[in-house]
Amino acid sequence: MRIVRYFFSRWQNWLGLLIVLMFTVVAISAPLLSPPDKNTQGSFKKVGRSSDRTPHPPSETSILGTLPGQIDVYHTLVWGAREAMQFGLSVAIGAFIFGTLFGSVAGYFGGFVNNIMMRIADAFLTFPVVAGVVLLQQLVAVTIESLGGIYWLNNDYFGRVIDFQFTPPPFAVFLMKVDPILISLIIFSWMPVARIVNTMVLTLKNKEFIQSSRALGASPAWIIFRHLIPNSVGPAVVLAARDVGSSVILQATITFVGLGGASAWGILLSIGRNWIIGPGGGLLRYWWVFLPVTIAIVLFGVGWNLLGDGLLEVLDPAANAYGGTSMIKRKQAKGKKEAQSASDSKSIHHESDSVAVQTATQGISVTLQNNPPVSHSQEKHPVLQVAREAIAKKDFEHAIHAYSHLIKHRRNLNEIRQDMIEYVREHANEAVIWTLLGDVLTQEGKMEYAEKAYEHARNLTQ
Amino acid sequence: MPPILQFLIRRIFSAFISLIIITMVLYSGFMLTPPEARARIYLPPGKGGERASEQYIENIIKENHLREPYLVQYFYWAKSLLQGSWGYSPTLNADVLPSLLHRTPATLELALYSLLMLIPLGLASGLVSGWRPGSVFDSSFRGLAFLGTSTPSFIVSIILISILYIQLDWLAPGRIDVKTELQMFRSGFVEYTGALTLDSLLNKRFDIFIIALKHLIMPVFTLSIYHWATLGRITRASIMNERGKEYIVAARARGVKESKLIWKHALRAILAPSLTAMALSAASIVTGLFVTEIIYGLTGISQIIVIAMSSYPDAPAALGFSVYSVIMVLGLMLILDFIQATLDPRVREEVLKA
Repeated sequence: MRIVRYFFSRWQNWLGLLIVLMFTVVAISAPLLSPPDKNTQGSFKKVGRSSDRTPHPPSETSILGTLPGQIDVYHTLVWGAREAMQFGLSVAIGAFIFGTLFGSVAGYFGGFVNNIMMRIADAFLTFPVVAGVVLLQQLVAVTIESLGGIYWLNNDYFGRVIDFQFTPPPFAVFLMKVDPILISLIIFSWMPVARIVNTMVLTLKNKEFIQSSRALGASPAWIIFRHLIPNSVGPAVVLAARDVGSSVILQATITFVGLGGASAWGILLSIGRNWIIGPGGGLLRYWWVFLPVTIAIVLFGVGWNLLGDGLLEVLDPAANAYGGTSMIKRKQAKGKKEAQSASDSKSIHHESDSVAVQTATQGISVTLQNNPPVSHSQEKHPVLQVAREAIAKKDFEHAIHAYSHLIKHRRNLNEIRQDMIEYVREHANEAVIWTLLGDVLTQEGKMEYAEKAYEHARNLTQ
Repeated sequence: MPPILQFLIRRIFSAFISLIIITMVLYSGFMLTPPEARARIYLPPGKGGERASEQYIENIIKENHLREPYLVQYFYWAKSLLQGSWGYSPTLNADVLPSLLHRTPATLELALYSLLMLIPLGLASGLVSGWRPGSVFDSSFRGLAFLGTSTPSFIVSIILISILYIQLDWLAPGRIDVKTELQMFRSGFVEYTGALTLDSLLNKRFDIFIIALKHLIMPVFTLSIYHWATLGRITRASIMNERGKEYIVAARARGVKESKLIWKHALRAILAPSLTAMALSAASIVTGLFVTEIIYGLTGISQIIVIAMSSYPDAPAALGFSVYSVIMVLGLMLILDFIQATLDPRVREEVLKA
């Protein structure tokens, strides 16, 4: 529950979640908010004669006015939200699935294969999305053409036209069904997911529980799907969630500049653009052509970005690009409150503990995590804050100095022990941290566990 | 050989390897289409669309080894790329490579001015706001940066055009207006580089220089704002890490002036992480470049995809454009690497050692 509370302690995260929820509600209840009728075509609804080429201001028939051709702005806004949500989530899910598979397979095989595969992933980073979008559409086009069909691009912003004079072959039917923009955005957004999953799998796969699974005769597929992927999805989900907003904005951009794609919001803007930036037009004069849809697009992007940043910060305080109050500092500010929630923390770490349980620290971490925290009444010592801040800044020398000071004076031993167990998990090869852990345990009188920690430190230094 | 040259050669070599990998990936995507479709990138002028008979296509397939295994096909395709035959584009009515090269100066002009704007400004604003987090400058920077990253470029450009062009008529979209172009043509304006701002200076025509600048301001601003904000944020985050380091404290204790601390010591230290992050988003800068060009009607290389997407299928143009834009991204990465290597003492030392 601590993570949830951290998440909600920032108003940015609240705002992000609120906006995303709002769009979800609009997307789900679109048929109620603006029921389609016989004049509806896709996400567009005509509320007058389509030969009338001037946009009309808001009236009773159309709450937010109309575009040239009497297309209702409100209807497209609502149904566009539904489309945008579907599109963004599809890209994110596609990127997540492909990235996770790619990263974990590469990591599982390791060595040479891993190098080649990750090099390929890096190569994708040098490919501008716009070029990819155009290329994929053209490839589909020439394929359709070589199969005997007719392909026409950009028909009045309402998408491509594919026509066959005869029953189309199955491959062509498949090509007609998939959205090339969706596919190309997935192709160009899976790399960060693959990278992070790969890193986690590389560290996980040498842990004992994987090796014992392998010794029991588990197949690579079983190990990858049953062990490696479930243990490394967390950050991957967050990275993929960040794609939702950006991919919808990209889709709208591509549609707006006329490179294909069928973003309803993008089409709305491109139909209305001449009334804003054409002669005699103006932002304020024909505001309903521009403002509502712009606000929708910007809000959609902002909402998902805030949510993504918030989730990322909760998972990995160091990655906080805003450089705001980091989670570790926040821990201090909460001081006493945290004491009550300390027992909650056990359940959050449960999943990562299942990893730790299998490691060399087996005996230690299991027993210690199961021990209920003892000394809540004790005030947090200011030096503990210094130590944690130093760790957050990766300033290990200061941190170690501060921690040993605290241990020597038997201050906040409980917290320090928990910290040490956390650090040991991250930096398993640091003899100093093992020694510190030993010191804490000695002070607490748990001599046999302390002995194990010291032994580990000795092994590392030799 | 001077070490910096060695460094450059090493980087160019590694960029070349990346180019090979990405073209291999590109071609493997192309392999998913039937050979008859692949043959269309080799069609000569006048044979596009329905006009190529089946027998004709079959001949092209044989000639270009399009039924051979993947690696053989890739080899022949890469060979033809290296020989400069990038295919004939039916929509452009011209060969792909010359059309790309002809339009490059305009694109490079926009890229150059944008980078010259956004790198110094991004670094400086990130530095100043991260040095004193919570100050007025910091909070206004964070607000602006948030606005910059969350407003899509096409919306920024709609707003800019409608205010600065339609309402106030100060600036203009497009590369140059018709009247000036005609006048340039009559007065014997020589195109040395193809970039208008440079050419007008070389021709000593300062009036045209001013006009060309007026046409560049809006696109440069649109392109810079997003990446300025991203670079500024990264710089801000790394300077906040750096600020408490011992060497800064020690320098301050020695009596080094605060301004010198920021602009000499801290700046050097954060240059590497900031520019590395920038190099990683090089592809997104180039994408932004294309989008900006299309919106403002600058006739750079993105004009090719606009034309290619306007009527019937044109795979050679799309394929050529993709390869060319990858080369542009790799070039941009190389330049950022080079800046970093010459300015960051740690990287420079590493270069000297190697």
